[in-house]
Amino acid sequence: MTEEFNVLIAGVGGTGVLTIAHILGSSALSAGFQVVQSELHGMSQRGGSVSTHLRMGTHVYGPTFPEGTGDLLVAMEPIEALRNIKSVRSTGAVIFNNYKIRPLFLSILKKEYPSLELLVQQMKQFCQNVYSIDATTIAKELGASIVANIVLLGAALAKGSIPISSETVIEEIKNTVPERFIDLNVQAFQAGLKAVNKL
Amino acid sequence: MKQILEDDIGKKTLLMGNVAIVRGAIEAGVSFASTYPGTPASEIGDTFATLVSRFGWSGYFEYSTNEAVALEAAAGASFAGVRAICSMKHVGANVAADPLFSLAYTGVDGGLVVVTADDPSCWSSQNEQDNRHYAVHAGLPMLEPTSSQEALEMARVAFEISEKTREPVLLRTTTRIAHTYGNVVFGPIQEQKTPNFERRISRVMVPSNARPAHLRLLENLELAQELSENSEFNKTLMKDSKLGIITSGISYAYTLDALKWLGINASILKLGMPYPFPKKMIAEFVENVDKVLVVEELDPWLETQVRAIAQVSSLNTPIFGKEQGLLPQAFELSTKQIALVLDKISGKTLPIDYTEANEKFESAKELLVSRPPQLCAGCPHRASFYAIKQATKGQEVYVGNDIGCYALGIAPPFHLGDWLVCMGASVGIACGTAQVVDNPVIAVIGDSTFFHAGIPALINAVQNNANFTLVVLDNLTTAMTGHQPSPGSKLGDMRGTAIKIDDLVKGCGVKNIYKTDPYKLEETIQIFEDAIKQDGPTVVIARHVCALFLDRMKRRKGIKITPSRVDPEKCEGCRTCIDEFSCVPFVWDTSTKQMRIEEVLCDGCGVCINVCPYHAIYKEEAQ
Repeated sequence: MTEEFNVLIAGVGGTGVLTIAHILGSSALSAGFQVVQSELHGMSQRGGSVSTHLRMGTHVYGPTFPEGTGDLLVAMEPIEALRNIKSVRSTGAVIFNNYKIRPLFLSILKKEYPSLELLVQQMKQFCQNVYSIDATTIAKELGASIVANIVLLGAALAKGSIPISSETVIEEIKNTVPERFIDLNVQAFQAGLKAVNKL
Repeated sequence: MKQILEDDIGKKTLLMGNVAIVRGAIEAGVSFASTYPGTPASEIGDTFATLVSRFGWSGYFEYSTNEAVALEAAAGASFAGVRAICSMKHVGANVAADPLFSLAYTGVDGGLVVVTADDPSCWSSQNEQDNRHYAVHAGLPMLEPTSSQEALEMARVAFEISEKTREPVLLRTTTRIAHTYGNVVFGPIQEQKTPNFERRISRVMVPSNARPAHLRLLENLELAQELSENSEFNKTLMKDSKLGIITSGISYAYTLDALKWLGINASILKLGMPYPFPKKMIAEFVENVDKVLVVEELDPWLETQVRAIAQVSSLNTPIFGKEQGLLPQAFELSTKQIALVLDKISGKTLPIDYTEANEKFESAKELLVSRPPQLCAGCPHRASFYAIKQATKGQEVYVGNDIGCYALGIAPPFHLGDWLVCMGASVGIACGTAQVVDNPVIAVIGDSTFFHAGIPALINAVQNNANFTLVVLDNLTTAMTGHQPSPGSKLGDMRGTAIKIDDLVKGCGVKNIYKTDPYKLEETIQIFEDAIKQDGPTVVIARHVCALFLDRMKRRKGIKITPSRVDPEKCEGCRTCIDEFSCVPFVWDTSTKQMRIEEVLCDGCGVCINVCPYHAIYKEEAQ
């Protein structure tokens, strides 16, 4: 059984980062792991950068893990992926939603959002396994941009070497989301499983 | 959430530390819970609130006006013989300190547990004070969990310790315990106690009773000392005797990770009940190892004691920690920091060289624009701040800010905040500043903070005729901590009556009172202009419901939000909206040199329509 598997989930406050962390955390619990997942609330949340450490395995203790020991970085937004790139080890993987949420500071400073190519180039200095997914576009096609996080979760399961089966995660999605949204969320997850691109 | 009340012994689940504390209290048969919300403690109260409102919990819960009242109310329940818990953030304990110290003298009847949730690194706080000092200062037994499982167990056992010692017990967490999910196993739920108020003069703290009460406290602490020496939460794990680590709280978890990472087999003394200090246990451990490292966050609280205990026991074992500057006294610890110290004192090397990674990251940094927290789209405080700026253009105005979402008004473009100290201090400090300067002085405060600590300061302003304008930013809820009910509002569950801020301010003797809806920009600007010109204490009540609260309600009810739009034919690219109003969805298009609104981020409040000098922002009415 896996001794330690470290995931960092990053994004912007309000984009569903905590929801996927909770689904993945409960999935790890039902897969029989010890789980620690830390998050920040209050002032640290309002529309700003957010990240949560999720750890699973037979021997995990602290709520966060040191930079360079992450097995997987999942990001809801490209800049937030790069911001947290130091968390992941070179043999780990990065999976991000390529939908850009422009920081207000860019508009205040009259600056452009950096190109995805540049961002990915920088990411690859740290980790070669970089994947992107049109999670927001796919979610919109399914009828609700709000499930972009679940699409991304599917992509993470497909390429992130997470020691949990996708069936287990689907079960936890069913346990977590309100009943009338179960089908939408399961569809989003399954779409994410298939739509990821290696960069 | 319902599972918290279920007598499902042995159930394994994942709980946030705060929720685990609630489960532990329920297992202990707690009857009464009170709080004033504050990060990172808020979910304790919120969980009790949900258990009452949705799942019919048989106990009593209240959001109190402030932490002092919350603790007094909990003590009242304890005096009546039932088990009570009161939770607060670390600085809340300062507010509650007055009753806390004297409750150590009066003693308790039903077990009384006081949760203080500290915030090392100031993730959501004005300071990172180390509340372990309160245990020594007031004389209270203290428990410190290292995981969600221990948070549950300690919450349960804390009531027993409280009843055995007849003292309130501190349960001290930090952000990383309070807000971390971890595995827990449920225990059995005990029955709640039947109220039985024993009348006792020893609770009456007049001097003649206070003197013997202090002696009683010292006796109770002797008993607590015995409990601590034998506590299931204080554990010696003897391995290699070359290095012994003494630690507590979340630092214990980081230490285990760091030891594993470096492959070190050190001995550990974990102190889950660090106060009263288990002196014999500590001395024995120090004696049995070659050197000691004390690992703790913030102050060298434990370390100083370990040094004192070693001195009393004539032990020469070298003790390492903050005194040598090995570990910092500021901010939270991490596995990496502890591993770096172990690298220095154990001879084992850190498996990762961070210099290379840090160098590589330099080029990435250039692409990273920071994304600090900001006022939400549609936030009525943004409108109020914009109006204050417009009304005071060209004047040097001194502005006191306070604790809440509106603290974000200190950021660009408003820069409204010459001080921000603690709950209510916007008003209290304005009282002094206004007495010595001639410039206009403004204090801003939210509704919940006003009820919590602003009222005495306003009365002071009236009594002493302080010449400043108090702006009560009334969004009808306690927004920052998760929309708990505010005493002035009927939003959320409330047993009693909503207190009208307007009446309250009038009752405090304020003569100049204005009311406005900040969404009505022109009117609000005019009101601020008038208010600042008034002599003596003046109050502006700027009332509009929290946008985040309203948006969530709309989403739940399926009400569509119609975003505002920018007409590219009319936008002159003057940037007034971005530079003076800076709402979340505003995007400056560097190619067209025009503004546009990111529709998915817009809440459709329409306030910016009146900010644009070219009338380029509009809203299509819902079809």
